[in-house]
Amino acid sequence: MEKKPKKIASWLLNLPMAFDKIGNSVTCQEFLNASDNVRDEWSLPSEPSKMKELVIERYRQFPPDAVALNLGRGLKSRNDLIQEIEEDTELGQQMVQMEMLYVQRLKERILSGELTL
Amino acid sequence: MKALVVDSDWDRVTHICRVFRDAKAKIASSPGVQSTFLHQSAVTSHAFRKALSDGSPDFVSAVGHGKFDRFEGYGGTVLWEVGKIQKAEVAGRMIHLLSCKTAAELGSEIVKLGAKLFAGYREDWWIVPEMGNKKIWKASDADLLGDRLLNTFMEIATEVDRLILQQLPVNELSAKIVDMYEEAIDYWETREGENNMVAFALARLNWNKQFFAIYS
Repeated sequence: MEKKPKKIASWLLNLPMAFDKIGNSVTCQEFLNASDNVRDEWSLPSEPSKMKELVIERYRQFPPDAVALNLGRGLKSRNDLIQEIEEDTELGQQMVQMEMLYVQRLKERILSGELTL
Repeated sequence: MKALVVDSDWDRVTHICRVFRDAKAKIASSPGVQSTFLHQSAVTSHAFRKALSDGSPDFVSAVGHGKFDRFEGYGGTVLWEVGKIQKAEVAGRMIHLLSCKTAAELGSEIVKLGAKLFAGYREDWWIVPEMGNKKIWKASDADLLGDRLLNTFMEIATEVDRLILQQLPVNELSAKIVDMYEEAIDYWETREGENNMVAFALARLNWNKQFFAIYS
């Protein structure tokens, strides 16, 4: 059964989620507004350095006070994680992978029409 | 059925898990389950082994820090480590480790040694509080329980225990947990009036979903 489209939260719309052909980041809102053929040309970057750039841009839009905890590494603030990404540590690479996995899911849900403006 | 409930509860993140596990009482509220508890400084290697042998639990649910090859108790003391687990400690038992990474090497070893079931995470398991970094250190247990994002993460994490105790088939149990993650992500993505703390949490909910593992 086809799912009824759900309205995406406005705070999620400002987050970068792809790059356009020229290499500028594209927000969730811009992605939702674009036509299908334009969206096809907007994709997640394949170069690791561009992926890092996109993820850092997303992270800078999270509150500075944001913090994540886990049962392996303890507590990491948003700024700790940005530093890990910039330094390309194992944890930083995990953060890039994590954000890309989520962005991919978000993109698929927008393309399937499950999420709408 | 006998359950051994282990909460190392020695730093902020293990304490948060203990607070939610106690409050949600998924094991205590499961019918026909008799629980034994090991908490805080009692979670030593010796006490853990004694509880496993003396208590003969059918189900072990434990919270602690983890790596691919080991699971830790109070203060980082090693409770289980690949290559050092005795068959009698795990054989025939259902085991849930709420921990980072232990579903990788350690979980495989535990199942090879005869565990009936193992549930855990193949990678880091993350949580994000809505209250932020400044408040999380000093938050009371009541404040922690009132944090809606923590509640989302911990509801799923603790529901695993309840579903295991229902003895559902592994694929059904796994599908239910994935559904819970999907519903949680869906809920927060469409909530208005929230802030970007939620956006920070979404990738982590999706990550936890991706790396939750249960096998027998």
